Amino acid sequence: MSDHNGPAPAGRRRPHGLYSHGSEPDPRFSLANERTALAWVRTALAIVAAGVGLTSLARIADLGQAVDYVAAVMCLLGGWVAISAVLGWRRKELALRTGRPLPAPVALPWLAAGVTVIGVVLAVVVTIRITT
Amino acid sequence: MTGPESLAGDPGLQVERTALAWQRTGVSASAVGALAVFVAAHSRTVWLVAVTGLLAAASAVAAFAAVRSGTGISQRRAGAAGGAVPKDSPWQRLVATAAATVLVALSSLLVSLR
Repeated sequence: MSDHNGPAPAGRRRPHGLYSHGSEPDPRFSLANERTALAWVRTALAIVAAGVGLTSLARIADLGQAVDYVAAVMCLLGGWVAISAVLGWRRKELALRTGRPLPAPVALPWLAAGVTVIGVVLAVVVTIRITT
Repeated sequence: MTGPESLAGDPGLQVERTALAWQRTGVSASAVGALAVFVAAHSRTVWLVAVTGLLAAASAVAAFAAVRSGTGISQRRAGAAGGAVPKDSPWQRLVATAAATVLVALSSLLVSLR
């Protein structure tokens, strides 16, 4: 691919381990990859917000300590999703640069499983709380 | 694949959509940080409010520094002028935003386990 932008600034771009590989992809694909990573970060923020909301709801409705532990797990899950967003961006950008197929999102099945487990646990905890 | 000039005129509003995605993310990070401080304030535990407030402030600063560099003012200008696409990397602002989210998550963890 031709470069009309003067001396290649690729050497200054970080991370070097990414930009030293392959050639410049269509910038629209890079921007789409960036937006996907941001959507993952917002998902992480939503999980953290749900955890904070849950712990304050547990306080108001007197749902007990178990709900606080679920909220703590949600905060940890949110932090992990935010980190995996950045790592996933790097993997996809590398695939774009080297012309390989895009890797599958690693965090997606774990996120779905985590949300499912949290939903089931919360349903059980709240049911026990209501019926006893 | 098209060349690096393909952002001239911002086809499909790619640059603008990315800038808006950065704005949404920055606002969300600040809102969640404020929510954590609000909930911590109700616990009436002074050290918890202080720690949560500091972490939320740090995360808001990181998020808005990321938004400022990520709103793509230079990219938009270059694209509108039909000029060269600046070869910057979103790596640092992505790392800053993820770090902000982790900071908010940690402070929320403190709040939920108080």
